[in-house]
Amino acid sequence: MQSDPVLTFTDAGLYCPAGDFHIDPVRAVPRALITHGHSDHARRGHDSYLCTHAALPVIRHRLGRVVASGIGYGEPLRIGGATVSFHPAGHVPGSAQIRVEHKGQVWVVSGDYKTEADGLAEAFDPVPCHSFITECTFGLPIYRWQPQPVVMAEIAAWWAANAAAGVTSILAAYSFGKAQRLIHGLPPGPVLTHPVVEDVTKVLRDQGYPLPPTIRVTPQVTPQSHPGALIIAPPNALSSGWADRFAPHATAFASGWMTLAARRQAVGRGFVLSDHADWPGLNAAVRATGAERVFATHGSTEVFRRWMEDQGVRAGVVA
Amino acid sequence: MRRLADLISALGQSDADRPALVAAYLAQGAAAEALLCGPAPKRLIPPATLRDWIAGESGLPDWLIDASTAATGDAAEALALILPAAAPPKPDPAEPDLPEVLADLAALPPGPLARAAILSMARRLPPEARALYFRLITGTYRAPVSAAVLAQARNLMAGLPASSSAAQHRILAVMIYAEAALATGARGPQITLALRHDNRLVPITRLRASLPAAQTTALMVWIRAHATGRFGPLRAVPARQVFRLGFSALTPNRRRLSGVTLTDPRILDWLPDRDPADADPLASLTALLPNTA
Repeated sequence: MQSDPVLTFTDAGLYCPAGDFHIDPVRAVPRALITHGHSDHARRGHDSYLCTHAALPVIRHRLGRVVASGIGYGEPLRIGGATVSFHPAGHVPGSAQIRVEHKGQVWVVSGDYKTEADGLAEAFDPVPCHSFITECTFGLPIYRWQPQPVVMAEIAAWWAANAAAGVTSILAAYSFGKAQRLIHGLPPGPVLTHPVVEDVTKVLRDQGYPLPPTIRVTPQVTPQSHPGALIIAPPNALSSGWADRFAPHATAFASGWMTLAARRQAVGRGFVLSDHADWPGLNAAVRATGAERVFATHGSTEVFRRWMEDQGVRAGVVA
Repeated sequence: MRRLADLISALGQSDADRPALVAAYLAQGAAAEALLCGPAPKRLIPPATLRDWIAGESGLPDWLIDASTAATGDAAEALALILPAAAPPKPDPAEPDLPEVLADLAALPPGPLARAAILSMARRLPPEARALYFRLITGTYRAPVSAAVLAQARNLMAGLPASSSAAQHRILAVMIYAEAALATGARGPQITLALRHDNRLVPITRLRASLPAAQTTALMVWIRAHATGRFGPLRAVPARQVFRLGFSALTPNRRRLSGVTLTDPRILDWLPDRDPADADPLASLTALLPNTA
């Protein structure tokens, strides 16, 4: 009865024997299907890349000259004996879940995803399947996100209080995804961007994503030239001393990890804003797929596997 | 409640300016200062009971609560994060402040009713304040600052340097006890000073009378000549010698007859010519206490 698995777990990552391709491979492969442009998913060195049209510009921006092609959301593509299609994952602009069908069996690889629509990334769309390979970065019941408007209001209040006190606000956020979500979601005001953030923002803005104007930080940009500004910078810029010339400044970090007091304490001020599904989101996503089998990857894999088994779902860990 | 949680979090940072943070907290209207410094409040329920309640509320198995505790590194924090929030979040949830929380705890009903009251309060608090609440009721709360930091914070609030080396709040006090002999190398005798209160003298502090060498000698001579009673090395002396006393901060202390503790007391002057009736009344000292009643 047991049919051959549509996807197998190899040293290079998820592999589809019927289509002879890998998904988000961690080693160089001939043909890579990429869920989104984050560097732990879109790595260098593959002979060819396939991702959504929306993800392609950022991937090209980050990887340079690669052999890559785009595909629309929901558009089926035959690769060998398998049929693949990409579906919105809500993680970052252009991100996708990848559906793979072979001999009537449907597997879906979630990639990274979040279930709450953030207004910028294409909203998560559950895809019915037999087997669902889900990330579980935040696969513990301690992780429950507040609705985005609540968190944005908290950040805006922090920014406003700093501005009123003559203090520059510096918000550390991943340069692709979180940074643009903040630029899009925060109230209007002078927003300065670290060059790495600005470069990605420009790529997305040029694609047509609704991102208000931002100001690239150059040597001429100072707290005096932009009083009350918010600076968005990648976390490593803060530890490098890049921001020192903006003193007095207040720094904060926007991440799901800010749920944990110890993590907040390490960075000063933390705002819990994640581009991954929280515990209720993971559970809702699994239910929405109707999957009879779940594989956990990235994060609290063993916890989530056991929890799924407790719920009566056959579950495993991608290994 | 959230402000205290924020304060504790800020104090935990390695580069925290602790007196400044405490001063900023107190400046917003001091609530429950006893929680800043001093012994932990008595526990109301054992941690295991709270855990059972939260497991019951959340419907989660023990192993998953264990895994959550391992991820946070702290049981109160894990339970605070696990407890399902109150119904749909309101646009402007009425978040209980610390006095309300403490008043609620003080009026806690017995038995099963306590569970409902505690969980209901917990659900109204944001997670970081909720963890604090759980520590308070399970006896795992630890006051975040020392008495010294609290005193420094008070200095800042009074517009003084945190570690004030200059004497402040000068008062005139009268000596009522003194050491009869000087320890080798000591710069002056240990003396006890008192203030007037209802026709009595109430001791306020015991300190070393560091004086110029000639004055130290003169003081020792006077003490030996006038001792009226002996308590080990200590001598009772007539209340005749007046000292100008400085200190850097003042804290309420119910275990002292005077009701206050002086931080960093020191003798500024010996005033052998002053009348003991010139000693300040205790009320002039207690009037300097911050308004915390």
